[in-house]
Amino acid sequence: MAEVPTAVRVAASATDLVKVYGSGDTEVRALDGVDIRFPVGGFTAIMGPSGSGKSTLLHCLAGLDRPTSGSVHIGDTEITGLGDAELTRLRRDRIGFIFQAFNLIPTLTAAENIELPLRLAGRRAEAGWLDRLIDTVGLRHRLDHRPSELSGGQQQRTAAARALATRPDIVFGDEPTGNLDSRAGGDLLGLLRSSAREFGQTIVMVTHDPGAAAFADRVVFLADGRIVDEMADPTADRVLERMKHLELGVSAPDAADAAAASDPEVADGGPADPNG
Amino acid sequence: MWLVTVKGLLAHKLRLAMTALAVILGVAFVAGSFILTDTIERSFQGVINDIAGGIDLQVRPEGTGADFEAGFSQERATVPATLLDEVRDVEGVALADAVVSGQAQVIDADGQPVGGMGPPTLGLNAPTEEGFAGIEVREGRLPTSRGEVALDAFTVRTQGLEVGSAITILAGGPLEEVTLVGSVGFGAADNLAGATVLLFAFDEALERFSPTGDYDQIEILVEDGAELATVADRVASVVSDGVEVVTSEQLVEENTEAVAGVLGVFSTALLAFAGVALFVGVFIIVNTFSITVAQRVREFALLRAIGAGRRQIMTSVLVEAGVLGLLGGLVGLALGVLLAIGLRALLAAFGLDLPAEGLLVLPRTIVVGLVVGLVVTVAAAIAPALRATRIAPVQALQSAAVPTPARRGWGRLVAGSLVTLIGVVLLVIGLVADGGVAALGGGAGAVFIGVALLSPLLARPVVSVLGLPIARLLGIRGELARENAMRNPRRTATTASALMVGVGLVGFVGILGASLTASLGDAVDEVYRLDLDVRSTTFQAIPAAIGDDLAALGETELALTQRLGQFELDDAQRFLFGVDTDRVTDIYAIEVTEGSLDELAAGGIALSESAAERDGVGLGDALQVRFPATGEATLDVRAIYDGRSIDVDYMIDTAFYREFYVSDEVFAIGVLLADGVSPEDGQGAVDAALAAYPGVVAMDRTAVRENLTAQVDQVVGLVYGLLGLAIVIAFVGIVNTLALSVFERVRELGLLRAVGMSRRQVRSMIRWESVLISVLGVTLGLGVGLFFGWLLVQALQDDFPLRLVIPTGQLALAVVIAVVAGVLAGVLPARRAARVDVLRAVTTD
Repeated sequence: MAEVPTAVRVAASATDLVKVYGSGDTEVRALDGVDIRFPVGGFTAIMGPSGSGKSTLLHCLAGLDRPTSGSVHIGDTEITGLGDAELTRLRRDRIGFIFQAFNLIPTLTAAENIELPLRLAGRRAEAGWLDRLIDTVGLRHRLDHRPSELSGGQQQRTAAARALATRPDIVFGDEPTGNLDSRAGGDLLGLLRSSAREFGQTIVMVTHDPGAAAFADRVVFLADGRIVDEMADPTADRVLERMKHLELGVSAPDAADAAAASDPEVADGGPADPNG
Repeated sequence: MWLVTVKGLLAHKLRLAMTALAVILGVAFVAGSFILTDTIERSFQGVINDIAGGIDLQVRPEGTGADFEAGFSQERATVPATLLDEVRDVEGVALADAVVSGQAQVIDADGQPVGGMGPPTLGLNAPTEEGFAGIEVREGRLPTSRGEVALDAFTVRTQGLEVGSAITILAGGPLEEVTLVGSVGFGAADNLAGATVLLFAFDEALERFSPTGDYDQIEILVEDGAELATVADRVASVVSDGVEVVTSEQLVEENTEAVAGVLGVFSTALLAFAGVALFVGVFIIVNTFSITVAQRVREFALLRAIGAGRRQIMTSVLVEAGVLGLLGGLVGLALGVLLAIGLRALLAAFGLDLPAEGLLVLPRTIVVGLVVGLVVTVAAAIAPALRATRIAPVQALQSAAVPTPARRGWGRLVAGSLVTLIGVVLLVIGLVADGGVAALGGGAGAVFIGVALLSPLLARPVVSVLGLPIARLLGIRGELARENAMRNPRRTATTASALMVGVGLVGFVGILGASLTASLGDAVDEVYRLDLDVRSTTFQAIPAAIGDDLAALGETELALTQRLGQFELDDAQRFLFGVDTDRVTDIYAIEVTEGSLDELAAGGIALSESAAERDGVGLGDALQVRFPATGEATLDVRAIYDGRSIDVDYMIDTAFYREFYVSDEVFAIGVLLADGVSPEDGQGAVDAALAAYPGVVAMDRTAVRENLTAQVDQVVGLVYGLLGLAIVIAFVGIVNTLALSVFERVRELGLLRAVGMSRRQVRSMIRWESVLISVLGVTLGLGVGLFFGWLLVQALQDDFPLRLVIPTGQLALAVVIAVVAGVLAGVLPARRAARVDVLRAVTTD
């Protein structure tokens, strides 16, 4: 049944990760020396106020963005030096993604979307695995539908199934419940938690919803590009409390404005975000 | 609103450029056609003025105005030689000179006649005084005695000849060596609008070109101070019946009209191709504006939400189109000048030397170019602009990517079918009821529009089928390419429709060419009984002596000389075929329907069925005709034959032909080889006998057929070339549509990249989508082209029976080219798609 993760096995890690946008007066240090490890089978939530660098961290970990310095490992593979073709293969075979929105290809059916990474690799799924996955996400009766015919929750569950289909080393979620109502969001998070527990799937998720973070095993708090705290076995109340504290602690008003004005990622979880 | 329009234009430079390209190429074609024909017309006008400016009056046979119809015979009505002295004696005449002309060719270093199949090769008498009739000496002098010639400066230059040296010429007899004593120009031009001109001393020209010793014309300069009209009247009083006096002004007018007529046809043909290019361009512009309006739904909705009226939205789109049209028009005009230069260089390569003056850009060209660019673009943008006005303000708040549900499109089906039907009816009217070019053009256009209207309904099933092998072979990228090509059928179909127009016309011309070639080949097989067909490669008369030479060969059984002369019947100029009527059926299979050709040996004439019908005569009737040199004659109709077998309408026996015509020119000789002589030996013997006559060749039936095929192919090739631009524009349209689609699908592409699609796979996916659009266009185009070809062949069945031949090889090649071109058209959009920044694509905005 569930694989038991040993403390030494690490699915992904970052060492002294720095990401700088711009230069001179407009320089923004989105990540400022981040060290973090994600043990196999763990479900980690990354939280932090707007502009704290949480999305940047996720993008660097997933090989979508290149850090200014420091290194990232997926399993044993150092990915910071890889070329585009190798990174693409890495994403295809060893990483799963769930984004906040636009997770599916509109011209493909739910089933085709789920199989997409496998088909891109020219591989077939392990016997029974896809079936089990489809039953787990509860999409058996919607497989032949196109995304436009699925509800938001069904779309995100399809995305989750796609992310899990290749049995990746690690699944990254970027505000996966951001566009869902609380019930659909809860369903998805429950699904992620059970895949971590039952299948030993490593999951890293960025969120700013304390309720979402409470589904994780561990919450990592980020502020000003640094890890400022960690919390094991979180609850929504404790996370909320910690976040309030964090936001008060760092947001001198003009500093936040300056960051918002120059941060190229301002759209991501920035002040304009309805949930922020 | 203006600010929004201007900023919108500036923000999309690439889109602007690609859309403008469709306008630019169309306008360039229009402008280039005008500039070229205007320039040529001015050059001809210059030549006409220079020549006419050198004389004041011309005495000529009545009714022989500017006539560009070239016959095989140089025999025509003449002015009696005795008239020259009488004219010279008229009071007020300062100088009168006779003109005699005929065919004369210069032989080049390779032993071939200069000019080839192209412009005429003329021989003239040198004027008694330089400058007379516009002839000016550039180097050396005019010929004054036998064995001397002067040549137009263009030929002297291009052939690298030297004044004072010996050259070889061919003028009605065997090869001759003569001395080149001068090079001449005609006013500002170095040759007569492309024609090669050899000048001989008067007596020699008369001997060579005038079998009766009479003149073509007499040209007159009047004395200074004399009243032109008075002198003209005096001259008119001395000339005989059938001869008239015209002033140089009249000559200029006549010639100008004739040139304008010929150039008008040329210009109309070029403009027709320009029209096709513009027609294709319209599809591209409609499509681009439709896509951009769709992509800017939120922008328009926001404008509406903050108080912009429908009219303002409409104006905004139309102004954008207007600016684009004007810009395209301007650039197109500039490109048109380049195109005209290119075309002129092409004409020069064919020997049509135009004076090296600048190109003539008339204000009309600029106005038409700009107006065409503006009107076409704005008209094409109207439908998308109307769609933009229907965007509701609330759409600013909704998420953009709401897929439009596929409509059943009954309205489209009805409208498309109706327009197609109207097109077909117009085509039938044009073809069967002689509705003219307008009905044909309109009909073809309507069919294209109708099919274009229907094409979105066809796009999904057709692409679905065409895409199947691609999806099978390439897996997920092929599947995605196929899905992408089907997801917006209207867009795919409109893009493909632009290609359909070009390919449809190419297919039509291809089918017509193949059918024509096959049918001409059939006709040769059915009609030609001769072993060798001997004639000039330049459509000129050949010496009758060749017939005797060939008949004297031991290898030949028969060398049947064929003559072709002009005559007048019911005030129309017709051609008369003179042949030994006893033997003509030995070389041509002629189906006689009434009477008998045998009787022609005793006199009389035979008519083709169609000529008999046209002239309203039947067997036994008498035909009143007039020959240029020998005047009126009455001929009895002794036979009626099927003119579809042999392409001449009037036939008499050689013996009588020689009575009616003074010159003895032959245009072809049909040779039958003697029994037991192999084709190779026969050909060898005939070739040897023809060695003395450059430009005269003997072709066996295969060669005749190949020659005909080559001529058809040449025309087909030319038309392909001119249609090429329309096809290039269509492919620009594919690039444009795909580039816009890629822009629209940035997030989707980013997602594909994020979940592991490699750049190569992305590029491949876009390229195959491009190929699918391209193949769809070619499929529709070939369908329409086949239909047009079939329709024309059916319509011609009565007058000119054609065997419908579908050039499968060529059509298959077209599909292959479409695939390759589709790949090429996809290169740029594919690169853009592969460069999509994954991060920007997947982060929520």
